[in-house]
Formats: sequence, C-alpha cells, structure tokens
Amino acid sequence: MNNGSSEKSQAFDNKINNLGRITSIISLALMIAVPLVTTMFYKIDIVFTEIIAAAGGLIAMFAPMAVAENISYYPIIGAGGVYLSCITGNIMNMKLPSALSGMKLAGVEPGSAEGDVVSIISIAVSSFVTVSILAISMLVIGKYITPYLSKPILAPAFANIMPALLGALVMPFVIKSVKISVMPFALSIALCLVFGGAFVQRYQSYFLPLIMFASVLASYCMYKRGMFGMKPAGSQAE
Amino acid sequence: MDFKEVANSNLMFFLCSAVIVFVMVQAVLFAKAAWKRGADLGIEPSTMKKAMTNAAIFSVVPSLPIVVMLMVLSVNLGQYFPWLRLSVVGSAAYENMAADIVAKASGLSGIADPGFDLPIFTMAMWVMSIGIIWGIVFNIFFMKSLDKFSKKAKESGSSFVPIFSASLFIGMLALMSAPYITNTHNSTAIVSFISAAIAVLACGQIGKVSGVKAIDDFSLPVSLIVGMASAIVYTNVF
Repeated sequence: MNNGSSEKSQAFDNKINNLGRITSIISLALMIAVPLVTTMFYKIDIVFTEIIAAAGGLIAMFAPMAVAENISYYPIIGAGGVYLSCITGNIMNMKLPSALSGMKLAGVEPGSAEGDVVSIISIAVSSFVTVSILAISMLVIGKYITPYLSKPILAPAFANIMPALLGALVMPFVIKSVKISVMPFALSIALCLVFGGAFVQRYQSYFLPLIMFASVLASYCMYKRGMFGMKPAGSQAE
Repeated sequence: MDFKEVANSNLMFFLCSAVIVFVMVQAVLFAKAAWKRGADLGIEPSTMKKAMTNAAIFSVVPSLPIVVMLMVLSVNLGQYFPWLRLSVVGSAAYENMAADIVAKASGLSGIADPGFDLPIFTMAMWVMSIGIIWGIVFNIFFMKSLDKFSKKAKESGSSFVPIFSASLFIGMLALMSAPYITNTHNSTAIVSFISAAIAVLACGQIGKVSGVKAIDDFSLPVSLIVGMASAIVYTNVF
C-alpha cells in the first residue's frame, strides 16, 4: 500500500476514472443504438410511453439495487473493477470470485492499491473469456455443445454452481479471519432463519449494505479493544 | 415482416457486434492500465500472469450455463440479440423476465406466443436495454466522487483499513452463503458448499506439502468443479 508515490497513485485513479467514464458512456450509447437503429431502420411504430410503462417496474426494481450493489462492491474490487463488471454483468458468479481468488493468489489485500490492480486484471480476463465463449458458441459450437450441457445428469452440477463457488471462496477467508467472520455469519444465518433464505436472496441487494455495515462495526469494536493484536492508531488518527 | 428476419439480419449482427467488440476493447484498455500500475507498485509480472490464468480458467465453467441460456433465448428472440444481452450487463434470468414482461404487457402469454411480432420484439429490445443499465449510469455520475472520497479516508493510514476491507467482503460472502447453508430442503446445495470448502482446504494443504504451488494457486477452479461434481454424485446416490 505504500509503494508508489501518492502522485502516481492519484494519476492512476484519475486515469481509471476517466477511462471508466468514457468507456461506460460509449458502451451505453452503443447498447441503446441497437434498439434505436432497428426502430428507425425498419420504421417500426413504437409507442415510447408503452416502453416506459413496461420498463418502469424493472427500473424501479433494478436502479436502487444497482446503487446498493455498486457501493458494496467498490471497497472490494475498486473503481476499475466496478466499471468493468457493470458493463459485462455476472458479478456475483464470476467477476467477484475471479477478483477475490486473484487477490488471494497474489497475496494482496482487497482494497489496497495492489488489490485494485489484481482485481482489474482478473475481471478484464474473466470478461474476455465469457464474451469469447459466448461468441464462439453463438457462431459455431453452441448447437453442438448445448445437447451435452443440457443432459439431465449434469443438471444438479449447474444448479449448484453458486453454493460450490461460495464454499470454495468462503473457507480460506473464514479460517484466516475467524474473529471478523463471526458477526456477519451469525447475522446472515439469523436473517435466513427468521425471513427464509428465498426472501433474503430476493432482497440480497438491500441486505448487503446492512450486513457489511454490521460486520465493519463489530470489527471496529474488536479493533478498539485490541483484539486484533495491534494497537488502535486512535490517538493519532483522531 | 416477420420479426425473425429482423432478429437474424446482418444489421442486427452488426449492431450487436459493435457493442461486444467495444466491450472487449474496454477490457484490454483496463488490463493494460492495471498492468502498468502493477509494475509501478512492484507486483511481479509472474504474479499478475498467474492471476490472469486463474481468472481465465475459472471463468470457463460459470460461462457454460450462459451458453445454454443463449441457445434457449435464441429460439424466441433470434440469435444475435440474446448473444449481445448475455455478453453484456444482462443475466439469463433478467433477460427472460424482461422479454416476458413485454410479451405479457402486449397481451400475449409469453415470448413463445405466436403473436410475438416485430413491434413487440422491438419493444422487448428497448425494455431489455434500458431496464438494467443503472449500474453503468451510477458509475458515470458517481463513481469518481466515491473513489476520491474513499481514497481520502484511507489516507489516514490507520491499521484498521485492512480489517475494514476484510469485514466488508466477508460480510458479503456471509450474506450470499447463508441462504444455501440454512436451506435444509436443498441438501444438494449444502453438500456442494461443504465439498468445495473441503476441496479448497485440501488444495492448500496438498500444495504446501508437495511443494507444487500451482495446486494451491488454482484451488478455486478445482474446488468449484469438485463442488459441482459432488452435487451430481449426491443426487444420483441418495
């Protein structure tokens, strides 16, 4: 965290934010161009109020979710990681695990300057792989591999990607940070027992900031009591 | 005109490809910037390469269900637009839901309804495109400020910062895991979770004992597959 002068680190942050903004604007414009150009080229009669009416429910649902999620992802994968993952999606099942395991493998902490670098690299590669696999599938092999992938015997495997992924991700971090893990796990499990797992999953985006806040709060209390074996920098920092 | 002609037209291919190519360019630009910054920070190129390989190998498996979904959506929406949607922000579940909402709003039974015509298809394209862009919009307007604000807060250099980051992502992993580990009705998910957790620890141990560090480095893809495979075994044996 201390290598590289702060000017260099600021220059990098500016570069990433500018790159992120510009590429996000261009991607967005290109995405909207698909229905827009189609509508104009084929002179299709579209009632825009109807589109807004149909999209309204989705927007009401996804816009606040997007805000809660991005704020939650940011401290883990950094600004660059969030810019990239929001464009290509599949954050929970691919981008976040790629970044977290990349950081573990490189021995760098999430949230550090090094962590941000490894996150960006991992997420960029992950996006590249998914996009390539889909392109190849769409153009050539999709027809041939789908029958195999849809075989009933494989169904339980694909239905359980998320729990398998989580088991593999969670374990090393929990063992390394038992004290930090107690509060968020106890609280999350309690939420599931009270409201039911399905409910918690559906409103995951809203529970997320809550659990993360509780987790930090609990850690902070332990930190102040010196439970992490280091002296709180209290007197100086405050 | 039949909507399938439009959906499978060269124009549609061109419009969708433009987005996808740009998204890949974006990934390359970010990766290049991060690589350079990584070198400045003194991260070994071999470490960054390992993170890239890990992300690439890992991302293959979670991409496979998306291929199946691509084939499923292509039946009703033509091959190019679902290809675009699943390559960028969208997720399989979202795209299906968005298209379905439009079909139902137009008085049809769903996207497979024979009454699904060009205007409805175009409307579905619009709704699918604008319903889920909000994470990107948020980034364009607010990510830079969030990044600046948070970097300032970190400059205090408190020894709490790494604990803070760890608390956040362990909180996130806890919330994501809890619905699976508390759902006793779906024991397959619990089996997958535990097998993957054991596999990741085993990889770490084997890597340490044998001195082959690669086993530990690639523990995530390996454990993911172990977790998924155990779901197959469990379903078929019990």
